[in-house]
Amino acid sequence: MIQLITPPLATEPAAEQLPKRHYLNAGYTARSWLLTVDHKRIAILYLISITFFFVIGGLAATVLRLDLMTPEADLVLTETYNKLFTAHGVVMVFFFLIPAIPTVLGNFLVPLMVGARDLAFPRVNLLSWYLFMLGGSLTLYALLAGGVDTGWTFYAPYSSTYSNTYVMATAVGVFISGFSSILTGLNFIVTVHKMRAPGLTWFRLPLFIWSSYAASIIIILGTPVVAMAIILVGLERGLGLGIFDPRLGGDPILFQHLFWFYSHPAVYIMILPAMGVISEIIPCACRKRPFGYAFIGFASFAIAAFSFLVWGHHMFVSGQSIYAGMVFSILSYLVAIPSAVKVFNWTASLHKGWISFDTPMLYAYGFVALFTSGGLTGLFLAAMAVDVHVHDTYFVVSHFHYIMVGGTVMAYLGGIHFWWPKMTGRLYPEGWARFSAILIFVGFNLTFFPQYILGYLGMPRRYHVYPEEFQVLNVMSSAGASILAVGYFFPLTYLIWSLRYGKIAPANYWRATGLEWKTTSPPPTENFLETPVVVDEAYDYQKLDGRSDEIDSDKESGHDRHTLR
Amino acid sequence: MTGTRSAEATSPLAHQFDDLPQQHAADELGMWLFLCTEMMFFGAVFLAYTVYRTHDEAAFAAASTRLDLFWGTLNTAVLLTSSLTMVLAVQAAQTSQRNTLVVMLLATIVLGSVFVGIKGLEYHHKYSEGLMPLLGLPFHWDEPGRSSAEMFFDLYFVMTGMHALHMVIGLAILLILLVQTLRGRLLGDFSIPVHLTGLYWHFVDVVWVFLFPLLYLVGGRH
Amino acid sequence: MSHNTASLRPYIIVFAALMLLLVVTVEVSRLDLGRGNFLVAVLIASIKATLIGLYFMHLRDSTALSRLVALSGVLFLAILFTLAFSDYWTRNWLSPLKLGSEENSPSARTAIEAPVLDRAISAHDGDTTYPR
Repeated sequence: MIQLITPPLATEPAAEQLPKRHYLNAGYTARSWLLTVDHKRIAILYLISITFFFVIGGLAATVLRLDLMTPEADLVLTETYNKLFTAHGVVMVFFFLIPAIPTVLGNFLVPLMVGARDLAFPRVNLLSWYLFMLGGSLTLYALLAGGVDTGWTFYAPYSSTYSNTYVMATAVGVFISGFSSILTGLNFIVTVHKMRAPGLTWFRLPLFIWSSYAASIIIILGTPVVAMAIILVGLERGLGLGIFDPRLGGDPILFQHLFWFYSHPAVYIMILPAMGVISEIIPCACRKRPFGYAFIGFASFAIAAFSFLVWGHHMFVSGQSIYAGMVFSILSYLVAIPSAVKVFNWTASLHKGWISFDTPMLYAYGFVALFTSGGLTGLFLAAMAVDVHVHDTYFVVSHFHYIMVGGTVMAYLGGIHFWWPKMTGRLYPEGWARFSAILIFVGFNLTFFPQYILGYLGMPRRYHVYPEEFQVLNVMSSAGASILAVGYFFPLTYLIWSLRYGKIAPANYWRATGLEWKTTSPPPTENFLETPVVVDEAYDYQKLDGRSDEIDSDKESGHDRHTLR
Repeated sequence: MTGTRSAEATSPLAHQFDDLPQQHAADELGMWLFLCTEMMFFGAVFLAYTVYRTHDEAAFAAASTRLDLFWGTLNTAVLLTSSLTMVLAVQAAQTSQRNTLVVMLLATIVLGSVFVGIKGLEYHHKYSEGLMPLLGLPFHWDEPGRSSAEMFFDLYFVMTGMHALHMVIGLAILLILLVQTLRGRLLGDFSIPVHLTGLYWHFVDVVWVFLFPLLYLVGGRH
Repeated sequence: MSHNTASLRPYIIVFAALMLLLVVTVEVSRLDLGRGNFLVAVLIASIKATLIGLYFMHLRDSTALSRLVALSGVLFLAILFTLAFSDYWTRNWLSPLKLGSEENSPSARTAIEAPVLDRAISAHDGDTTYPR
């Protein structure tokens, strides 16, 4: 007989008062925040910075979508339009998508999840934030002083020789932020290896740790290569060196090789931590161990490794050898496999599980649907014969927005909501939050689904002039963007509101497994009053809920794994 | 070892670690990860070098003969020697031999400075021979393969310049270590900064070990 | 991780080996091995780098993890080189031009194509119906 799980309580009731001593009231001076080495405070600093850059990037997008409502170039000059989409790309990629989940959720959670007092190198962590702010300020200055019109991809020789815009300042800003990223990744890897609590073996770690670790590997191996590419462009502009200059026999495609060697794995830096968040929300909401825990963990590493083998799929029509293109095309199909494994496993985790419609789970459902769509269209693009037609069209734009916005941003919001009680000790208003999640999902699809069609019909990207027959789809997309913007505005508002007026959160609001939930909400500065000792397997929801049913035994899969009591 | 706090000797143990072995292991892993990023960083420009060399090996060989083989070879020997003095410095720090540590750090700094000095000399030679195609300066090349030769010198200045920058940073760190040593620090359990600096210094040496033959010894120097 | 003074010997031996290899690499470069010069130079440099890594940087006595980190850098550089060269080595398979000559540079290619273009245009001189 099929038994449905009905946990006695979906969530813990609100608490009477906040804990007396926690990391937020440990000091109120500016100095205590700006010179903090507490990973949780640094996470909050990043939260504020990241949100700021998201708004900047979003403003650029707003102007873009307004201009695109008409087929003529009637809102801004073409030069300005070029600067706007460059600003949107640079800010969103380097100052939001790559840092967001690692620096906000990762910084906050990684030490807590492994049972440590802090990351391995707390001062390096603070340096990381200052470097991020320095790079961001420099880039912002460049964007405001006159902007850059090369596109976020900085292709040579336009960026190295011909562009008359603030390429140098932007490049230096991005370079510095790359350093920030490297230091964060380094910190995570060392922490996970050397600072796990007693009893916390690799296969008892939360999947968020597996994913963050895999993303950190990509950061370490990939970022330095684009750093060199940026330096070479800067030196070409500043010193007149001609590494990519065709007049010296230089090859602009070499720039693209060095650029995409990082920038393709970079998209996995954006998505792996997002997948990690989803891997935490789904087991908690479904009240059962995720299906194929080990496979999800290994898939994270496989994605990290394979991601370095496929960069040439961005260069199919650049002049790269067609034979190299074939190699990159086949390898690109390979990299889709571990991602697919994860999607199958998340879906299978719902089987015989509790189906929840709490806000984090709404974001998780949205993530799985939209990431799958974006991922599948990636396979379309990996086929050279198709890519020849849709390269540099809105099809590509839609593909990566499905993954980055439909994937990463939704997972980021889902994670913010899921861990908000832990981070702030407050509960957000569930009704408004669910409404916002649905609004965002609707707005997102209205914005980006028409763009698949536009691209398929041939509308190029980075153009603000287009044939009249594309206007209807463009207007739909812009309308969707306005709904999306409103959708983002709501969480910004009610989350800040909740800091003062929200109900007080208990220590473990979601009744979740994981060491971070075994300390107070918010946690004390040192995280745990006593170093935890781990004896349970990961995601032991059967034990936590006190169930005697066989839901977790994975009998259908042929494994006979019973959780420990 | 939890470490006691007295006026003179504060514990080397940082608050986030449980014991010194854990801290040392973490520090070392952190430095290796950083060196891995440096490997990828220099590797990128080595790719550029390799691509362009395969395009025109003859011109690269001709351009390479215009570099000062004597000074380049001497510099390599100097840098390898500085690696030796560095590893001896690390050993002295770990065994709390303060005087040896001071001498070895000083020797490493001197040798490293000699390297940078010779590099500056070489750059000056190239400038006066008109083989410095930067900032619009004239490039004097009458043989065939002019654009490839210019590319060679562009790569020469980028690669050795990046390397020299890393050397200068290393020298600055070594100076700080020297000052610390003279104040009685960095010995025994407190010696990890010397160990980590040693790893960095050796890595910079390894980069030169690849740079030297690829820049100075292209093709036969008949 | 502490050593006593008796173990200075490995460092001296490695140093001597490094200096010897320096002499070898300079002398071997005097031979004309064509493409082989590059490979030999990289090979000798790799041996020197390995010696420095194992003995001066103490990888021999370090954890397997440190060795893995060092090797990962090498491995992923190999990936970068291999896949980038899968482009460079095969770029001209569809073209009659050969690798490794002045003819191959992009500027030279324009020089080759321009006369063809000129001839195509001039072939239609006087033809008022042909679009320019």
